[in-house]
Amino acid sequence: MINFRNIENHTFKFSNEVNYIYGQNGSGKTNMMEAVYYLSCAKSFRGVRDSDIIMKTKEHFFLEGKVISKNKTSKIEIGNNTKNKNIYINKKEIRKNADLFGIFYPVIFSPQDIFIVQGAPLVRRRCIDRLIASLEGNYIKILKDYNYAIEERNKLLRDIPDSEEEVYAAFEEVLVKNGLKIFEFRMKYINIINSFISPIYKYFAGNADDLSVFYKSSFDIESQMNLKSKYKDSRNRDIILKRTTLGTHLDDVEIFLNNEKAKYFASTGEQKTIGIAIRLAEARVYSSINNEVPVLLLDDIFSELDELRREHLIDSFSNKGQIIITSPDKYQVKGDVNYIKMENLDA
Amino acid sequence: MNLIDKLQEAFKIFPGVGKRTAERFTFFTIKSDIENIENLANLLLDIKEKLHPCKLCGNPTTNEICSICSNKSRDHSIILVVENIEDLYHIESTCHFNGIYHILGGHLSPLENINPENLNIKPLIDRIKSNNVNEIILALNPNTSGEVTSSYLYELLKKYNTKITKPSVGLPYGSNINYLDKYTLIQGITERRELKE
Repeated sequence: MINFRNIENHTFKFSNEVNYIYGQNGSGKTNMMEAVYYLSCAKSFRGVRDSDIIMKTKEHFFLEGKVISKNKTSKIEIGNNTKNKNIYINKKEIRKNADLFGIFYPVIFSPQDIFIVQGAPLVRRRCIDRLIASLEGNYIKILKDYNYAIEERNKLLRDIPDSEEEVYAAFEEVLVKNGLKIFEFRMKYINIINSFISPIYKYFAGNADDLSVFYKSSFDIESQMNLKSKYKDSRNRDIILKRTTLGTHLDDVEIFLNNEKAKYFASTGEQKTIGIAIRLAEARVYSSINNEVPVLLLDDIFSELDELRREHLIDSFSNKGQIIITSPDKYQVKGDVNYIKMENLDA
Repeated sequence: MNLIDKLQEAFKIFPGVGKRTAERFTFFTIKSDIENIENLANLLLDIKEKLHPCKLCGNPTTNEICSICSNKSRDHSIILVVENIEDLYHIESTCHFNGIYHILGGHLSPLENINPENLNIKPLIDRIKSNNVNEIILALNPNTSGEVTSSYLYELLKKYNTKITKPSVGLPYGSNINYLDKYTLIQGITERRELKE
């Protein structure tokens, strides 16, 4: 890592099992985590611009990572100087961030996961979309095309509402075609998540409560013709509202604890546990389909858990894959643990 | 701003010319013979003064009708629609297409303020109405905005009972599967065709 946030020049070497990074607040633990995540998709999990990641007073950052998986070893290099981002896999330059997908998949657990339950539908859509994108090669393109058509149609609704019927129809066709694909993919993965999530929650929470997820869509699986006419029928209303009111960009994933909406009925503690259970399910879905265990990044959630849950969390994945834990305090964790103390990084 | 700076700024209007290239062009101009520069300046003026879009297809020409549209040996029953002049020139350089062209002048995009009235669509409809057109090939760029424009044109043109086609998409020849992006690969596999004798 070079000039990445507060880390000027440092190399981390992780074991392929449990890595425990501890150190006081501000020592750069989350920044290190962010760098690992950045290598997987050339984006930050904190939702910030690349220019915010570059160390103050510097003009670029550089990351290099060696990823050893079952079948192969890949070297990923990313250089970023705010204007250009250059990405190389095994010294071969790639043009799209999406080509990075599939080398390794980190699942990040953070205190913000409570927003998967509490937050707006967008948070949950992003969560499921990221999982699908890592497993289905054409999903990013489908999402991109869909979002493009939404923006173009919204521009018509806002500024040129009396456009020809055929202009509306041309953009609505993209919405129908890609919206149905998005819907089918999300339904497929919600069903897979559901087949894992209840036992995961029971084990992790240590009780008999039942957790399930449900995809709430603004349309059902219908023939393309039907959906086309629905868009046509919604035009007048959409012109008044100046936005597209039908489609997968408004869908939500509802989370139920014992058949009640977790957003409204679960306690804060339960919501935190649900957030972790959803991340664990995400990891499980990924490994069941891809036959490769994701890298688990446990950012600062360890200190919030009691000893039993800490053990359950590690047990769910120990001996199966790599785990990187950050915490201000050093807890003892079972098994072969690589402890790293964050201090004097430039040494 | 002195003359040298002014010329550098002027060169920057060309696509792909940044500060460094503009600087090289400027110093090359200073060192060049006056004849070369006069010739270049005259050509630049001529191309702006004498060229105008062909009345039929939109291809720049010095006459009313361009050399492709006025060529009687070409098949006037097939019209290939492209977004830009560059696309026409590129397809023409293959020497493989013997029909005629129609330049749309871009793709539909309300966000970029390109609406149907900004595109060269009405002359296309007039051509279809007044000639015996058997096929229209919508060779717009294979991206989402190209697709949208194609489907808009299809809706508009289907009532004229003309065959409407578009070039196939898939794996580019001469590439290496290893280097292709996933979407192109999936598209190629989805749109596969049977090998026949």
